[in-house]
Amino acid sequence: MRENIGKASFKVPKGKLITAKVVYGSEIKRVELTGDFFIHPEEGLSVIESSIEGMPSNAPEEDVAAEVQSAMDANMVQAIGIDASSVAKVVKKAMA
Amino acid sequence: MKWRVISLEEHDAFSNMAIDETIMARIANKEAHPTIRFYTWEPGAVSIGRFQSMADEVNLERCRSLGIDYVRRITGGGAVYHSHGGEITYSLIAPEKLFSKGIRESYMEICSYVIKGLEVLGIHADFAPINDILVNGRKISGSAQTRRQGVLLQHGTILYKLDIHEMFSLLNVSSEKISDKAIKSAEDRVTCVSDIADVSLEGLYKALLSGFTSGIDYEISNLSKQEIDDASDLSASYKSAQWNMMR
Repeated sequence: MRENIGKASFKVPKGKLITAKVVYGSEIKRVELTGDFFIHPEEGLSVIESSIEGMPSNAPEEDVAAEVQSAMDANMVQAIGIDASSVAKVVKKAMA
Repeated sequence: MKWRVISLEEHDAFSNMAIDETIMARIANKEAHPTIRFYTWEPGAVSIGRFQSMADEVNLERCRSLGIDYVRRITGGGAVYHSHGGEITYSLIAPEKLFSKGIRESYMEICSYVIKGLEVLGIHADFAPINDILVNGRKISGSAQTRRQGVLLQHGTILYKLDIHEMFSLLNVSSEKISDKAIKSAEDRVTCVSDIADVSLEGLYKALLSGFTSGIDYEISNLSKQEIDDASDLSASYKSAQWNMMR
């Protein structure tokens, strides 16, 4: 299956802007998230990105959000201005 | 708890960021008191948040042609244009146990010092979550925070003078956003001290100093030789494409 690259942005209501660049085929190969949000600790963004990589591209948004939330909880990652749901939303939007 | 205050200094973008990170490390090693520093940027610079894309946010060609530096911060948040003489930046660096564990709450606590400082100038300002300070509903200050090894760093800018056209020329915004209508809209959303109060940049610094030091035990001091040397070494990494262009 050929590789696709998608990019999308989403402004979280009362939060921050998040942009996703996603490389995907039948599965999500690479995710890069950027924006004016805050992540503590700083390394937490890689934890979030890695949690999505390897998931099927057609995974429901709720499943992506659950995976992100689980990784954040396990690694005590705090996000300010974005959350697991907004990450899932923008990643799915990038692949739409 | 004794605090150290470093008076208003002027450095380039890379040194300013390196000094903040150096002080964080010194405090983590219990080699320095909690520190508040004030600084300006020469030359002017655009700083972007830890998680932003430099290429997406900054008009690099325009920066180069105007001699404006660009640097990635270790704190999150958005892109900021630090014009020379157009703003004062503060950094507060301290053990995180001195502030609320909750990040949102600690923003409010530290921003209250900026608000107190503006009050000295007769400017009534309000904290606007997550990390802004507004005057009459218009942004005058933004802050950003990170925490490492039990040490909190929050830095932020207080706008003194504003050239919104110059700012828009340095930041990448969509063509719709640089229309006159959008600039008017931005002008409606942003304000600066010199538009509100008849005060010099030095006067703003003194007011901020008062706001940050009210009720604390502090001494005005300088960076140690070790800090200057460490920051000088570290500034090279803030100049590197590996750091600045990583996203």
